[in-house]
Amino acid sequence: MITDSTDLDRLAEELTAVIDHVAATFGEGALPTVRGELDCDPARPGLLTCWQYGVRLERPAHAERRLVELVVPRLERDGWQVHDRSNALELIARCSRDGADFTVHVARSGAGVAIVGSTRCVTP
Amino acid sequence: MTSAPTAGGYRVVPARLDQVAGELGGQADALATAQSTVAGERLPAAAFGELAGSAAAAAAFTKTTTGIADRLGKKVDRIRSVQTGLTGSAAGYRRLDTRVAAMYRALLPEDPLPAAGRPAGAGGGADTGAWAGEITRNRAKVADALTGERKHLAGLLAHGGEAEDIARARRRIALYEDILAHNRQILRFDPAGDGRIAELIGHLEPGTHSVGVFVPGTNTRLDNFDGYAGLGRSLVAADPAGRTAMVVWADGVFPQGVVAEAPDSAYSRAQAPDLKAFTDELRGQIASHAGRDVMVTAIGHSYGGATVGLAEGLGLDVDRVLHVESAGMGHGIWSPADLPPSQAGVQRYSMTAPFDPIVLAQGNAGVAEWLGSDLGHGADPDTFPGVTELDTGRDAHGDVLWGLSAHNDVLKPGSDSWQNIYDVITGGTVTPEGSSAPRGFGERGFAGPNTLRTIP
Repeated sequence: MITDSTDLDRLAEELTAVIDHVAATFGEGALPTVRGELDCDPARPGLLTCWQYGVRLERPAHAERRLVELVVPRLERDGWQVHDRSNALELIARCSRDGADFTVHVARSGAGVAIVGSTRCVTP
Repeated sequence: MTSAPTAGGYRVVPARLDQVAGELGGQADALATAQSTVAGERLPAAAFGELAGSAAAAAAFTKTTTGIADRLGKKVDRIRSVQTGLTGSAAGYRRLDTRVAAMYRALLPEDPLPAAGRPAGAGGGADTGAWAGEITRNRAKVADALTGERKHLAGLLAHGGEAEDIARARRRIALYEDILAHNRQILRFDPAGDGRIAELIGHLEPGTHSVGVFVPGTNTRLDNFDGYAGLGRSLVAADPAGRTAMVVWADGVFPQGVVAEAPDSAYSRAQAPDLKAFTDELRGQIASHAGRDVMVTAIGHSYGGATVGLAEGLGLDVDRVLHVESAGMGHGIWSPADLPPSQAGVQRYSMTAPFDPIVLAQGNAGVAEWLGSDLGHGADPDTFPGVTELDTGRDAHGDVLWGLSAHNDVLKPGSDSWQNIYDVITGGTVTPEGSSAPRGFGERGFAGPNTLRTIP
């Protein structure tokens, strides 16, 4: 766990930009689902916090193909490690870099795309 | 007949299983009556007069009737055992039917959510049901509590209060302000003491597939509740179809100390009936707002696992149970036979990170419980028969989750453990303990040109 005093605002800004950029690949109209600080250890509130951010698109265009052909290669070029957690219901790409993470969930039924992630944990 | 022949084999008819179980129950009752009558037959030594051998004849009679009564008693036990098994089988078949139906439905094109995600379900704008009223009432309670907590904080600051008390007051105020600012759906609220609260995240509406009920553990209080609520928010936000809801349930008094209070089962024994009652109410809300085919998962973290386990002992109405770094299956629960027939067919999962000290609590108080102590939380969930043990894996850094810090780190989004929690709730593909964590996109085989299949 990172415990330095990195500026959470800067990390949040970076993560938000990446997630918004990924969301834009799937189309317009992404709506925020979560946005705010989160205690990394709920039992010890205030000790370590991260920023959590997520969006959802209800009507993505060609989401599966865009995830595989556009999003994943671009993220890997940018230094993100991308892990496959897909199942019968969803394509799931879990992305992490320097302790930040986000997952891209694409419903195989075409019902939507959700992206949710958090920054690394820092001392507030 | 408890099954009907079909073109492809036999179809089990759970109602017939219930009927046969009922008939067996009646037969067992009749036999038990006969058994107690025979067991009560006794002859005085002089029953055959003063003849020589009268006492011996009476003793032989008693021995014979006792033997018959014993054999009848064993038959009664066997019939009741079969009856219990049939009842459990019927419940299991029903649960399986529901689960399979839900899985098939999940593979079909989705019906649109009402009003593009602005639902009329529980907690939605058009809801006038019981929980809508509850949410409105609790909003007023939270507003009152905010006023009170601000005064409390002012007093602490004015009179040199302890730093920890000041920090807790500030965290409570932040929680109350956030609840009011974001119209959070508070289903239970009581600020007294360490506080009690339960929150619905997401909505129960037509199209809802999955609902999770998360029960936190030791040291849970109002001032740190939002950390657990954040877990619920992340799980709801991850569903691309928007069909998952979560309840974070902390409507109880939690132990405040790992050594002094957490080993005591008194807290879980007090919480379990409330959790059972709440889940029954949740089922009712789901039935009226979302239909009957919604998968409900109870997730118990740490001490919360023991609470979920004891609630199962009371017939907790869920489809899946997930123990996360759990203290145990619940005080006195050492085998599936300690659970009621209603729990047949419940899918159980458990995950414990390596070297999390919680292993000291898991299944290690058997003697104490046997001696009647209130200490201990039953069997080890990881090795309980029928439980699928899951991998806790790595965090977002790629580091293996282990040791004391892993106890709560497993809840952090971005970890393999968080992904497993999500998969259990949504019916995805879990990663069992010992299976290698996928490394590199495409390891599961969908990155190539022929792998963009919508349904495998």
